[in-house]
Amino acid sequence: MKKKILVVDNHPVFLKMMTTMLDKEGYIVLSAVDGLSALAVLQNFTPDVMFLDLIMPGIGGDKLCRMIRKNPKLNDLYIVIVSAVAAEERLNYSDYGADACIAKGPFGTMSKHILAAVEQSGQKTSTGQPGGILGLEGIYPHQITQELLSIKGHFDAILRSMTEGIVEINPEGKIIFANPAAIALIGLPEENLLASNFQELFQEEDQKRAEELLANQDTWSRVKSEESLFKMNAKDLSLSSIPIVSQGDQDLILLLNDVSERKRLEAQLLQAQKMEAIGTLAGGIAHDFNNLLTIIHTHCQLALLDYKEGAVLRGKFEAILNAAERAASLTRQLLVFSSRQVMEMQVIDVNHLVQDLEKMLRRVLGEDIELITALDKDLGKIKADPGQIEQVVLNLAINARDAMPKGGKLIIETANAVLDENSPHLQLGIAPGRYVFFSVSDTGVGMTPEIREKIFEPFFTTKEKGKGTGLGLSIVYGIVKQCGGNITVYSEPSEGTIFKIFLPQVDFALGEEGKKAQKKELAGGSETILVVEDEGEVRKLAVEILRRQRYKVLEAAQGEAALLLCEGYKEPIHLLLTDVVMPGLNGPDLARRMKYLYPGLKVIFMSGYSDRGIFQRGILDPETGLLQKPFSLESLTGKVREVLDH
Amino acid sequence: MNFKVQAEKMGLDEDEYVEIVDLFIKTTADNLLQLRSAVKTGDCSTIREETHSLKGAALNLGFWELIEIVERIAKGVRENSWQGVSADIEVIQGKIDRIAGLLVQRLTEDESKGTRGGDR
Repeated sequence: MKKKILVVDNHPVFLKMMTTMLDKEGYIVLSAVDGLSALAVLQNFTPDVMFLDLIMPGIGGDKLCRMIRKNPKLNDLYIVIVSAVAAEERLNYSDYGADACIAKGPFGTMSKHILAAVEQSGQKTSTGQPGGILGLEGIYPHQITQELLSIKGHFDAILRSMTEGIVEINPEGKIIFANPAAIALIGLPEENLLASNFQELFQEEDQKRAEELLANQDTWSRVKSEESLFKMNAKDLSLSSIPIVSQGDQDLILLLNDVSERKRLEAQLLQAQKMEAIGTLAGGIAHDFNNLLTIIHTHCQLALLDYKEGAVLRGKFEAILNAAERAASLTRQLLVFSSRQVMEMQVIDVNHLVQDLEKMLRRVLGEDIELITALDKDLGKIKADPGQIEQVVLNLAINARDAMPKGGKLIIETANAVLDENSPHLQLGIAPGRYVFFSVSDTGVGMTPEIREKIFEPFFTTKEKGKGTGLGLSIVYGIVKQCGGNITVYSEPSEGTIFKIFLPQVDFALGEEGKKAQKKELAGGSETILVVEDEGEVRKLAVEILRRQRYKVLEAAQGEAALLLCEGYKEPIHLLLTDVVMPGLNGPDLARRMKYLYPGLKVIFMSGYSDRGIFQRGILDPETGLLQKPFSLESLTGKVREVLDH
Repeated sequence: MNFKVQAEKMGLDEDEYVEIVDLFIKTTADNLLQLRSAVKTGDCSTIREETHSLKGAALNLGFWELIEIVERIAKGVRENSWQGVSADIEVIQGKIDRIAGLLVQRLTEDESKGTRGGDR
């Protein structure tokens, strides 16, 4: 049977000589002028031997060899590199997957080696052990070619090091070159990428657009598509093109830029701005809304003191009180999510907190979900607002419960974690240091990557309308961030979910303040308290409650009025209870000025909304009290006593 | 230049060799055109590519004189010594013209003998 031969070389004289000679010898010969044409020929023609040059435009001999070697259909193809430089430089042609190498030289000498190689091809073993380089006697010093190779190597090095993806396509839209950055961006091996159709790499909805742009080269010179990005391999790409004339054909150099990260950062910025806007709105509402809630709440509480159990109106007041508490809770959630909730920092033990919550968690989770805790008995302490950390655990548990409609396991684990410079967690934006780590994992339905990306976004929910606010995990995120920690999530569909939280460890022991906050009875005293609040009803309520608890109470509607009152008052004032935001002199400025007059003065700020500038990132000095509006009888009297006793 | 002897050296028929030389002349004409243009604009990259192409074909056909001149052009450009480059291009052109002349003469002889064309 006649052997079939393919000759690939971009020089017409060499091609003509080869085909003439081989044809004359009775072989079936086809030729191709470059790698791309060779690949097209190979689709319908399976040769026994292929002769190819190493340096060719577009897809060169080295790449063509590698591509062929990855094609199982061409496993038996005997590949012979015909190149003067390859021979002269003693290139290890087997590295390319070639079976033999012949030095280009005078055709008379070279043709003997060519024919010998054709004969040799029949004896090729499956391992393809290469023989020596043939035709070295005919080689001529190749200074020009070496220079070309050196320059090619130089440009190759530049192209390899570029972070921008560079692709060259021929007028038919076939890829003839792709640098490593482009290969990584597109996500296909080079051998699959070369000779493939560029526009077909795009997702279906972008293919038409890509086709139009490529067809419209004249109007598509230089930077393009910044506003209209292309999706490829789950990335957002911007494309630029530079038309070039290569050997008479107009090729296109395409520059591919992965703008996903930039887009993500832009989206993050937008998200931050959105949260800031919601925070501002929430804060503005909270200021007035909490004043109203304080009035409703405390009036109800005072009224309840006047009605005995079983009284007709008692139930109605209790209903109002419940509604006010729910409204206050909603306001608090908005403030927490926007990181505007002032945190009352305490040193806390997460283990104790989880143990205290266990009973409630079991009730919340229901009978079908098993709660498992694995708590490190040597767990370090953290500094955080205990109420907020409880909310973190609770929100994650509720989230897990909803992910396990048919039941499952919820595991809460705590441990100490020391992250050093080499820790993989650093990539997640967690700084080196000692942390208390706790995780909440479930065996539920898990999440797709798309959902996972959005779960911390406010108002994002996968729950049915009306069954979730979309704030639960945003609040968790806000709290953890405000504590200087970080939260990560790992999840796969049907594989469950694990939230990992890292909170900075603190060295000092558990403070007393946490314990004092647990007191339930209404505290009282005989000290003198100045109440300053511009909202008349709130002020009256605070005064009334404090007087009930036997304090001596002075009151003023504004900061300036309070200072005037102090000038005329000769007795000591022990505590200033003041609103933060007031017309004229604000709370903190009033406190500073009053401390000159009364050096030992204690201060409690009342606020429904805390301005970040005033409270320094929302974290309050433990020596200054904060009374969150709307306040209750217990919270007001408890806080007053706590600060006076500090 | 004896076409018959050259053809035998390459293991080809004389007619086959003539056909290849004809192709060489046409290809070289394009090489020289590009070279002249590149020398005018100082485009070293094109000069390297064209001299590489020209030299490869000359080597295959055993035109050693051409190879030497092509190497000289490349060396001049490499060493930024452009003096003589244009003249060397014209020397190559002269040599190609001479080969072309011989080729025409050979073809004319064939035609007069009636050995080429319709009988192939």
